[in-house]
Amino acid sequence: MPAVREFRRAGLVAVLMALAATSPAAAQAPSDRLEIGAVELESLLDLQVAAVSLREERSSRAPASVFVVTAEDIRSQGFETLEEVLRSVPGLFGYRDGLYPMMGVRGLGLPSDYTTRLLVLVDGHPLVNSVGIGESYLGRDLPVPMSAVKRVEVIKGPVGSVYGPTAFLGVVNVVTHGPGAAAQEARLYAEGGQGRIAGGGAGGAWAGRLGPVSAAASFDLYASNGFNYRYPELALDTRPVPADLVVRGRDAAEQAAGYLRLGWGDFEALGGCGQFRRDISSAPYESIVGDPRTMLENLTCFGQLSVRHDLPGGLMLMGRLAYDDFAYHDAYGYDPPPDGYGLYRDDASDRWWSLEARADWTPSPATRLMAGLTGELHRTMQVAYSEQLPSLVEDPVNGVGIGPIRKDYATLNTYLLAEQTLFGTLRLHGGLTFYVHQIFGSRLTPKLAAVWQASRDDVAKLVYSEGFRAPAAAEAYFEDGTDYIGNLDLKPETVRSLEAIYERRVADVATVALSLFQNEYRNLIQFVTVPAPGVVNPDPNDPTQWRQQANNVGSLRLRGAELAVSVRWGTLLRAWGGIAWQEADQRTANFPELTGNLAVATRWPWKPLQIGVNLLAGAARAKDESAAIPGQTPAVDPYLLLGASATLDVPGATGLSVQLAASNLLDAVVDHPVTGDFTPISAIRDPARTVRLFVRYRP
Amino acid sequence: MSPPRAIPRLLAAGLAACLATGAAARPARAEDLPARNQALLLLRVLVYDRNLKERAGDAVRVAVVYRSGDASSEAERDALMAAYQEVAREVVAQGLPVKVEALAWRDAADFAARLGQRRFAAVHAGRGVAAVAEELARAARKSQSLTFAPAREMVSAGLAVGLVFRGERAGLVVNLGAARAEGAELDPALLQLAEVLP
Repeated sequence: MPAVREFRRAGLVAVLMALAATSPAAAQAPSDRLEIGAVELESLLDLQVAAVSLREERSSRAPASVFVVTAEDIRSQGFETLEEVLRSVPGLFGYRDGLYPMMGVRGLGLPSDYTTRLLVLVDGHPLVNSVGIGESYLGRDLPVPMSAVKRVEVIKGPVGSVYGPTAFLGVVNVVTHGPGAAAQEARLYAEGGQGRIAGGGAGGAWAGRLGPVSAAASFDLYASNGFNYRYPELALDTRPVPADLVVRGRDAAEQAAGYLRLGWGDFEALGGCGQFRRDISSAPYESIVGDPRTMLENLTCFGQLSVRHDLPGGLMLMGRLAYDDFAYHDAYGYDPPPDGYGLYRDDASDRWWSLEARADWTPSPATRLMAGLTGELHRTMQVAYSEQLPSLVEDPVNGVGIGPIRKDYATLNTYLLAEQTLFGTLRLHGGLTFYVHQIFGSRLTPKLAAVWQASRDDVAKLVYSEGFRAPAAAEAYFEDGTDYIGNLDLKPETVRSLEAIYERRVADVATVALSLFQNEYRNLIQFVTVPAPGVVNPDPNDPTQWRQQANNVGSLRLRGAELAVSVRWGTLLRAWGGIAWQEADQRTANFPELTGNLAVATRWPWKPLQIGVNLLAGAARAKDESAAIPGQTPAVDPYLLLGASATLDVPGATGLSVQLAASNLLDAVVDHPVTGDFTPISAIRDPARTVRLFVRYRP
Repeated sequence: MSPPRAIPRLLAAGLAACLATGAAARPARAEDLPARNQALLLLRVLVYDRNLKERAGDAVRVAVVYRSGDASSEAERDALMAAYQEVAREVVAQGLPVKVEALAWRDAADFAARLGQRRFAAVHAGRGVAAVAEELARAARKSQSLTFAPAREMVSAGLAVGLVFRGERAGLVVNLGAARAEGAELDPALLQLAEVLP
């Protein structure tokens, strides 16, 4: 088989190339040389990273631990959501609570985090709101279609010195195809599992020119009838539950998203809107199990106008004006009054204007200075109510909810970055951010880093950074009189991080990075289960005698090591993954000591057919102690999730491909710890084996 | 704490700064990729050409063009030649060995004659010959050699493939008409990654 010989020869050449990296003069016979077509074009341009220091720079030179997943990587595995992409990134691990998917970074993944500690950017525009009541931006609620995505940049570790408070655990920058880029796609897919077709979706992206304006537009549509979920712990429930503990078809979801970018000279306008709705099968807050009224939805829209202008002398000025609108609604079904609340609703919103101005000055190739400020004006609202009952304000005895909770506030983030290259190979970075929150005070956040380009292929980085996170409005203020009580004494969370990174490029096709890190968190905020006001000896089995309250749960020191590898060897091999080990100085809910990720795709032995395999693994994680009830296990088991895909480029039909992708191929049981909101359920299960069939056209 | 009174003023100042800078832009500042990366890039681009084997023959010959007598152009030549020679020991393009030669630009007729004597699959034009890009393009079309340039202006002047920069971002720009005139049939996959000039 010629293809087998080619593969073996390529493997041999890889080894030779790796050895030759230290002795480049070594000559090779033509038959032993690497086929240049096997080298990823983008790796020669070096994958660019924009999020670390607010401008595009080579990932190897960025003063942070950076990982990049490209659109081709994403397609090769059949990933359909940002959550699936991020789960494949070394050091990250996914978890969920049945409402939204969430992402932990290097061991820290607090239950009910709702992506309030991980900053999600779309083309540099920050999406994350300050309410924190229900959103992820990682799943189907991302208001940007996956067809538009060019690459996803992940920065692990606090980036408070650039972005302020939300970049507490790290930053995820979703970079889309720019206006005018020739990146077009149309795709259709069906999704099924548990022996039936559950739903499907469609998406498309187009880019081109409209007179002097370059444009890029994309859309995504998705609908699913959901799957059946078994909750074994419902056996402990006092509510009526299905005899087999299976809630059927109560996970239906719908999504619609659109995104537009327009470019004209130095100006760029972008805007997106996404609506997401899903039913909730886990019946939190003691609502009726399997009630078809129980659901959540959110609408996220944003628009931004920016201008970037280069001036003589290496000075670049940038301005950005943006408006964001986030609205959340949920509903929970209960018995009608007087036995229950009827239909109980939560609404929340955060609407904010942002204005950013930045000056970036490069007086010489070795020196760079940047200063900027970002101001935001937020208007937030939260309310819980029943359609059939008055509020507690109107009826302190039989009422529900306390009426609208409105908080308006301003924030200002000013930052200064400086870079200086010494001796041609050593690059020093310094950053300082002064962040002011109208309610939660101010914080000075420094960052220091050194990046040493030891050789063409070797880079060493030492990074010290700090971050902080103001309490989300939901954590501090939300009260409903039934499940939540506010906490006006919350202090902002802080983190100090020290990291040493070594990166090596191997034969222009692979990168290996080893990182040692230590993160010290203080005043971490977490929802914990506390006795309801006025209840002295609450019954552990009576949820009505307990409340959820955000508390500063204390300090935590994490230290660990991470190995990350990526190989992009043309069509022969596209692989990335890694392993992260971390330890904490105290018991922490949902903390895995070990996580591993691997994604591999190859077009060997037949180029039109691409086979992909992805693997996720994690160690056992402790459950939320404050929500534990007798009869439950204290931790969830280690997990191993396998996914696979096969993509066929249809012969004779240029640009047309068919892909079959399966997640959780082994139908493994993977549980994730949740807070007391879901009592008696203490862990929510990952979806069962799901298969998607795609038809894509990329002219 | 109460909101700083400076916030509204700072916001207004920021907006004014944004609006005040909306006038004429200057061209993007070029910043070279290392010569080795440039050499690898040209060869990687070449294999997107479906006509490469037909144009190249038994080996992929690359001509590094420089301006004779120009010190900076000759220094660029030296760096590129060293990079290509190193790369030629490590890679093949569509299975063909890579060979490189330096070719001095003296005048159009002389250059066209010498380019035509050998079967060059590609011409890597250095910055030193930017001023004669149009004449160089004419010669390359006659010899069916795909041209590669380190600046957008040279591509606009008629060369086929160029490296473009904005800050530290590197990308490719393709003059599709020029590439076709030089005998190349570029795979659409390359055009998806590049900025295509009409």
